[in-house]
Amino acid sequence: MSHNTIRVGDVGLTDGPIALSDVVGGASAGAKIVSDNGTISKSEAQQGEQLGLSLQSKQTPTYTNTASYTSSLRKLCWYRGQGALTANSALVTSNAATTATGAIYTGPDFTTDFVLTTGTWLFVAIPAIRRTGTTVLYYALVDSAYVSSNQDSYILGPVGRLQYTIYARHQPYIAVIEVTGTRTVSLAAIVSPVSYAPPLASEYKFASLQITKLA
Amino acid sequence: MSHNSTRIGSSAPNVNGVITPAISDFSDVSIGGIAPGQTIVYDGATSTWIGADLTAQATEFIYTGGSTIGVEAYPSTLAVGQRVAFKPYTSFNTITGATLNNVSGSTWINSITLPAGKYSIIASVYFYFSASGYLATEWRDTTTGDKLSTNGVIGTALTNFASAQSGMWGAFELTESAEIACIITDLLNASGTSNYAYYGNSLFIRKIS
Repeated sequence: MSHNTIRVGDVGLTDGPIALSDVVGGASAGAKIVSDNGTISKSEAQQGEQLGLSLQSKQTPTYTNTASYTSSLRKLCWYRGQGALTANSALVTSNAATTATGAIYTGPDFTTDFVLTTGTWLFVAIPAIRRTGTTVLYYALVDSAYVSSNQDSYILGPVGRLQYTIYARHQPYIAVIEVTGTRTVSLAAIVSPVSYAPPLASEYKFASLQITKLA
Repeated sequence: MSHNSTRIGSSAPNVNGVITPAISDFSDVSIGGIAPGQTIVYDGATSTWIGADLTAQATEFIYTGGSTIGVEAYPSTLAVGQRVAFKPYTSFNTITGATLNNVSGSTWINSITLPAGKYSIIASVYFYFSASGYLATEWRDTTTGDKLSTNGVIGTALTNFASAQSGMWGAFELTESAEIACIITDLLNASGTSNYAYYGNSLFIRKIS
């Protein structure tokens, strides 16, 4: 019997040991062995796999009163409704303490603060705030403590703003921040020369929040 | 030749000549300590297949957005066909081969060069309005003119855009390196020359593959 009539899969045996890479093909670092409809093969590392998709919520209707831009910022409240994902253990949603400045919440399913661990985090939010005035309301991702009146020290993301209509016409709010250690963040109204009110039931159901760990 | 003189690793043929090797019989496999639930991953440093936890790869992405309130002149006036500029107060670019391109003589970004690949994009723009009006924008390939995102419309005079939404969302594939930009497609009474409205301009591009 000729030695090269013996095969492992498509690989003919030659002198010396046989490697898994001979069977599945040359691989680069990070390649994995996967099953594709029962066929075991190699899968190279893919980009775009999310590390965590954590929360999608509607906002509560418990948001009231006006705010200044110093120490009385108003945090937006989020409701962890059915279907909310908490896939990544690195994200801890933390119900705001009743002593937190400006925080209003009405139960264990409502969240204002998000405790992030080391990594790079993406926030995509469409909040709902019902304006009752005619000028502009600004909001941003902030450090949840925001004890300083120096805006630069606690504003962590872009400044979102409501449009010139009574009914909030929001654009997607997009922020990416890097965290080292642990940081607690919130979305909050930061500058409000106008009155605003809880969103109506027909409005707040459109609010959503996704937090993704990118790296 | 004896039936068991041919082996794969330590696995020898049975009396019928059938070899039933274990995966560890392959010479480049080192999974002695593999734990339940782990997968087999190729380790480029040792050129061996090893046991490892299933972990996702870090996402390649571009982000730019504001994080400072203040006043800074927008780099140009607004007109249909013009590119929207983004101020990179906070900026990330982890996409290999991608570049953020500035307005000449400015730090404002008004186009992005991306390598071939598949992408998703989300973007928001904010502008000052001198009176009731609107501003419509979309992302395009600047060479081919291909539309890469939905149109986003902001403002209050939205009669012509009754069903429009305000953000730009898209997913697209580039077969070769291309420059993309956010283009103004329609506007009324929108201005880039006043206050800090556009400090909210932000975009996020994810490389899917």
